[in-house]
Amino acid sequence: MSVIAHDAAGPVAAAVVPVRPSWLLAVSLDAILGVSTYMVSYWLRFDSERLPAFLPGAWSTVPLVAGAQILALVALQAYAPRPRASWLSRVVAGIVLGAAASALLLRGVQGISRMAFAADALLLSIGAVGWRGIWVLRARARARTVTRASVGELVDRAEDMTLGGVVVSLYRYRSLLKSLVLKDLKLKYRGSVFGFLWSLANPLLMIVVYTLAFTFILGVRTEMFVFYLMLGQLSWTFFASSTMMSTGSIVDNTALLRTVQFPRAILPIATVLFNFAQYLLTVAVFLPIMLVWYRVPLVEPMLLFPVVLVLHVAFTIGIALILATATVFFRDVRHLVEVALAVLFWTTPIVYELGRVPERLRLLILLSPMSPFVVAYQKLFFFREWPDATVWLVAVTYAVGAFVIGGALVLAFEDRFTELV
Amino acid sequence: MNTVIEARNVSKHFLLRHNASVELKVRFLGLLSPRHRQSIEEFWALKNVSLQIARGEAVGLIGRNGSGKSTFLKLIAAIHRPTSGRLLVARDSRISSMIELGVGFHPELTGRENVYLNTAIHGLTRQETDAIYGDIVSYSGLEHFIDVPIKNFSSGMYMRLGFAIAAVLAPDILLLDEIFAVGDADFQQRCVQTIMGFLDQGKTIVFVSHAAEAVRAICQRACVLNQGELVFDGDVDEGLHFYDALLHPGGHNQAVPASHTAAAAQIETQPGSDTRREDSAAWMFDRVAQAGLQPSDRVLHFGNADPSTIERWRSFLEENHYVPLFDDASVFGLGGQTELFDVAIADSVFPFRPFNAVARCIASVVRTLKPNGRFYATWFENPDPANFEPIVQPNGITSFSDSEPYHYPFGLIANVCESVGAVVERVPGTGHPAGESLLVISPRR
Repeated sequence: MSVIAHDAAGPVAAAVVPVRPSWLLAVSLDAILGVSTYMVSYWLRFDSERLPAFLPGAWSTVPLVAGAQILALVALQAYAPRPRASWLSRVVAGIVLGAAASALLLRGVQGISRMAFAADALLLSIGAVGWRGIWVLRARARARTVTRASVGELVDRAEDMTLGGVVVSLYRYRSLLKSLVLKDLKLKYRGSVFGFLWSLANPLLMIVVYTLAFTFILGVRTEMFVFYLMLGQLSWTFFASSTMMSTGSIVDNTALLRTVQFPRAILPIATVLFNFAQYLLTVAVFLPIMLVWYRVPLVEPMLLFPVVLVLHVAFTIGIALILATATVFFRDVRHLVEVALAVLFWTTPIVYELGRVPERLRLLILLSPMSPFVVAYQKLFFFREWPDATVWLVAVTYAVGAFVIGGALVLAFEDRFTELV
Repeated sequence: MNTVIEARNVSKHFLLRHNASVELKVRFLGLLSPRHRQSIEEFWALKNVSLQIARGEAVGLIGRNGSGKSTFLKLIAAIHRPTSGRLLVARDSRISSMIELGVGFHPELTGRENVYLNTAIHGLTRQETDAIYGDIVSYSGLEHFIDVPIKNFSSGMYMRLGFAIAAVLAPDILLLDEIFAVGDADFQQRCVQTIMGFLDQGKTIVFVSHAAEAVRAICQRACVLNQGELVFDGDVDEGLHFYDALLHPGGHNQAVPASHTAAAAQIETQPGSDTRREDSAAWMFDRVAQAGLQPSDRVLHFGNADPSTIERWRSFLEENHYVPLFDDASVFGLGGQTELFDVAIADSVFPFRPFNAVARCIASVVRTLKPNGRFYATWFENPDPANFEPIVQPNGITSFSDSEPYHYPFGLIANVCESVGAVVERVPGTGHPAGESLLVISPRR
């Protein structure tokens, strides 16, 4: 062998252009979604008695609203053949702008709901970003198959990482996930005398404080208030501590990222599962005590508890993936999350009942991120009835949307994590 | 050829963000004023590198700092992705990297828990780890400490555990990065044995090092990288010569053949030869400058140097930071020196002074060093330790021969240094063509 000669040309920039959906397909998908989310917003907003009175108004305005949103998307170049990394933010901005513009145009028109515009913008954003996320994942999977065929016995490991999305790699690395969760649990209780009791003490203390404040100071006399509060408080604690911890789950593990290759999504997911383990333990202690103390009869809707749990965890994992990825690019996210959580606590029906919220605000409270899950828990155990269809719809949309968007975000950007942390 | 690693026109591009910030505030400010805007400098760590590595090959990647060696290793390990081109490895091959040993250990966890966590990161299930756990522990030799939190480990134990895991994982492809820069001699010996064992089993090894001897011992093939380009790919000896020429363009030791011993023998016959001394003083300047000498360092130079070499020292360092001494007596007189030195240089000291003087010189110079100072000395290894038998005088005092040839064995120098509270190490990869090598003596912290 000998000295290697070089041609003058420098390295060629990456030739791989991500495949975007054709604009016709994108526009029609967005239009169909736009129409359906607008109608769903009316359905969420009004109960079955008042809904018929508002449906004509909804049907007559839907072309305008959906059209305005599509126009705003076009104006913001969300359908450009090769938009840059800000693709997703353009989509969200376009939808919000379109909804705001149509709300302005229709100001003063009778028989329509202003709240529905907000709900429409939110649901359409989740839907539009969601289907684009699935599209990107599919395009990557197809590119991988093509590569496989061309390279024969050799594989590109970095690409192979994303095989089948987050779920499959989760299964492949389940042992790592287990180890990480156990590590955190061990470290948390190692050396402390009361160990796990501390995890019980924290929610207990919060419940005592709120009970004192509401029953003795504010004079709110609700039956079984402690039980009601507990359902919301425990699930909120799980969500809040998961999201807080997840912001650091990637940026604080620099050493690990720089030496070993593994699916990066594992880290935020392990953080969520660590908090979930504690949530389950506190629930396992407090729930039976409460059920026995208040002599709550067991009813069929309680059997749905695992279903709500799965949706709740999927949603929390999705949010954790989004936040962990965002923190890599903007460290401010950590502080933003702290502020947002303080606000979200009060927009979630934890210390108050959704039924007591003024009727016109109820939809907004229900659309607050954690609300559908908290409300579902309360319906199952406190009111002992089946949750409404609206609650299910919002819960499923949030859980699936957050999970798909979070997964797609991590897979799209994990290549760059090592360079940026 | 049974290829296990293939790089096809691999390039890796890093953006060096000056004035970089991941804070949103700064990004917004950047929109308003150019002073806050980040300037992005493009940096190609690797340019169009193509190479194939076959199963069972041991390849040494050599090159200067920043030439892209470690980046290439991280691309193989899929820690980074190529900006363009493809880096392919054999399907289902297990890659174990000794890029940074023991990173990813959690200090609060015990050795046992860390082993399980670390193997899980490498994708092993609990059952698979159970099967090899015993081997890892016995290999590391840490049986008594395995249930102690790892924060109580010494750095050596840390690395032993890290190495044991990487070794027992039995990878198909082993990536080594500067592993010989760390650890004691015992540990390094063990590394070499293990790596040789892997080679016998037909594993593939990619080895990044500056140490020419280590590369020569392990690899048959060398790839030289220079500023991100692959400039040489071939036989290891040729590769090392190519690299040497790259480091010293037009330098004196580029043309010197590998027959070190012949040159050494020729010079030994005339130990007073000035040419040899000048030669080694200039050579030391290059080495010390390469080791990171700063113009702000205070340097004590002790020995006989050519005026041109002294001029090089003076022009490199700040004014009054260069203190030359040309005889033993002035070294001993340094006791009252108020300012301490960052670096001390002794060229041609050891082979040409009686042993007592060597010991006293080392002691005096070490005392004048800052706590984090360095003392570089050329050293002529005694070709035959039998020449240096202790002599027991009739009055019972043991002394050493002060008649030529009296080049001192390494162990003796180490003992002298230890007795004055310093540690001595050979600087790896510094074999002078005349047979000398470089020692670095540092005050023990």
